[in-house]
Amino acid sequence: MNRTQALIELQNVSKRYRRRTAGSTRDTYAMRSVNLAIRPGEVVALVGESGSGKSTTGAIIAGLEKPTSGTVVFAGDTLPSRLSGDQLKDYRRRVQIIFQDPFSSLNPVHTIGYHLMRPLLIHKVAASRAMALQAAEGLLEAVGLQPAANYLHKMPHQLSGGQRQRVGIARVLATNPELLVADEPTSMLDVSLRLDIMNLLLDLRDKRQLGMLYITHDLSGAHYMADRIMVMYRGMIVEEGLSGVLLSAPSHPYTQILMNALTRDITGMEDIPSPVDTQSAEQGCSFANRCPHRMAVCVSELPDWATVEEGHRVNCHLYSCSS
Amino acid sequence: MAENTILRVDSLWVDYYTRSGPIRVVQDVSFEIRRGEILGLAGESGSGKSTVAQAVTRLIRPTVGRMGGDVWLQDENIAQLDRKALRHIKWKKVSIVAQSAMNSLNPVLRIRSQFDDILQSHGQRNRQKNFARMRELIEMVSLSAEVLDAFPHQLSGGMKQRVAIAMALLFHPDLVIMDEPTTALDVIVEREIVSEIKRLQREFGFSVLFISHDLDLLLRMADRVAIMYGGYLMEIGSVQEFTHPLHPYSRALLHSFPAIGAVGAERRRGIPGYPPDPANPPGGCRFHPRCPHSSERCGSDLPLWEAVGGKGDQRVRCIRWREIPNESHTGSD
Repeated sequence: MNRTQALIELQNVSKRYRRRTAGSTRDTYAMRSVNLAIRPGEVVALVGESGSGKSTTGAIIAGLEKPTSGTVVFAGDTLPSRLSGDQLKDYRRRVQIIFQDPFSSLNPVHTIGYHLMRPLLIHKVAASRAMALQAAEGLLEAVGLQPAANYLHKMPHQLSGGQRQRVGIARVLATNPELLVADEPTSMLDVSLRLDIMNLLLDLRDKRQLGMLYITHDLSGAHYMADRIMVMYRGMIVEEGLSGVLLSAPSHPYTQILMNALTRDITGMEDIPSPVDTQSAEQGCSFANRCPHRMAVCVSELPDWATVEEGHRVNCHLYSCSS
Repeated sequence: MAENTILRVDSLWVDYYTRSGPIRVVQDVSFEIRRGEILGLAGESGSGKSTVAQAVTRLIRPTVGRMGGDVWLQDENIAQLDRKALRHIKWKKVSIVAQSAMNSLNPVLRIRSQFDDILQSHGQRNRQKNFARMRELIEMVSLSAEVLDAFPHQLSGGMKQRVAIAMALLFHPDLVIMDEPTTALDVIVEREIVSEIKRLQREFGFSVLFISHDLDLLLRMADRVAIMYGGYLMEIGSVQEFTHPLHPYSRALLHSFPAIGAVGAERRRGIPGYPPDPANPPGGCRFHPRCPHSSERCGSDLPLWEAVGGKGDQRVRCIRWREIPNESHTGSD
């Protein structure tokens, strides 16, 4: 199938965090051989619990973290291991990130106008302050904060959480990015406001053909937002597929447990594998320790990808063994 | 009070003091909880749901605010009790698992000493008996007894939450109030804790007031659900009745959870606007500025807490509930 060129591609990207304490080092893999591609106008949801490595993946795409190994290809070019100078600035303009917490991601001592004009001026999107001011108004209107003039001089604390998150979105749009990383953009918001923010992001995707990595722990939100879903567990992508296809036949034991947690009645009778965690195995599958279907091979070898159906793959020994 | 009613809250109100004078954050809240039942209380931040929990357990400090109305816990009106009488009731008849229960454990004390503190302060000084009791409790919430010798930082969020639940059950209370006990946890752990709560509740027969912003979770775990908005209860009814809620806010809230599993999610409309500012609430129905069905009267008339009639004891606070077409919340627009 001939597809549009991917905007961003992670090829076998791993990220190791090393903790040194007196006399010993402990490695934690936040990402293990992650492969991922996002095309223009496509929303890919990365779903996982806290500690799964989904935010690390977002930070690597946003250029905030460097991979320990593996390659990042952006718009056809392999990124050097260290971006600097103009190259870094250019990358930051084209790839932007929206953070989870609208309360801490805006500087409390600066006005909304300042937050929006800064990227416009730094990236020379606007040639003068007057033009930046005008552009800032346009951005506020684009995210539904109207009349914009009312918001420009406000301080962050004068806005509600939902309004602040809109400012956060307006700010990332300032540089006309091609790729957005949205790291749990609605999880700190009230339920009645979440859908609005999700719709805003989808509208922007439609209008600007943005590629988007939508990071979330919420499968139903992922379904609503994304064309494709990737499920991550302890650094490993365990399953990926077109949203509707994956969710109608979740195949990885972890995805199945996640689905059941969200959809089944809570009776108070059944057992779920223990959450009490153990260091994830170095060689084997990340989920082996909690998996109800664990086999000997699961702890010793990394699983291979197996195709479940068209547009739906699973990274699990259960499937590679039987095929 | 009906025999199987554990808690009856009647016309409860709460003010918080601010620099510009007191503001009313809970108004005219009335509901009952029956023996052995889980009542889910849903609402967004600022709706007053946590304040209700605090008022019911008299945790509103006099320097912070004031409250009125009646809170009958069986035959005692908690709203009128003095401090000494309150001490007899707390932990023993009603206990609370606070929103930040995970962080309410003392970081420098082993779990065992924290249990001991509570037991000692209620006059139980027999160390051996106390230890046996904590062991029993810790095992009841599916943890191993070794946890008692741990410091809080050695436990995961889910384990700490289980410890907090075990503490709440120390004295066999009739009612346990849980204020967002699982909000900070991952979905799978959340589900484990919730099924644990249901199992314990079935086994020991206590009642639960479970507060959460997650209506979807409440509808899957509770017997009845109440919905709060802008300091008022908007609707209360059985989980069954909430398959066709009457209040436009309840409907909108249910509709704002995207459905999972169906192929091809359709676009849904959120609730327009923002929740009311408690210092400057809209007149009439608190929801009318965001309501798709609002009429002129909605902006001026305060709706009553009206019994719907019929078999159950469903109530709704909306002057137009009879007129609004009864669509199921699953319909799209």
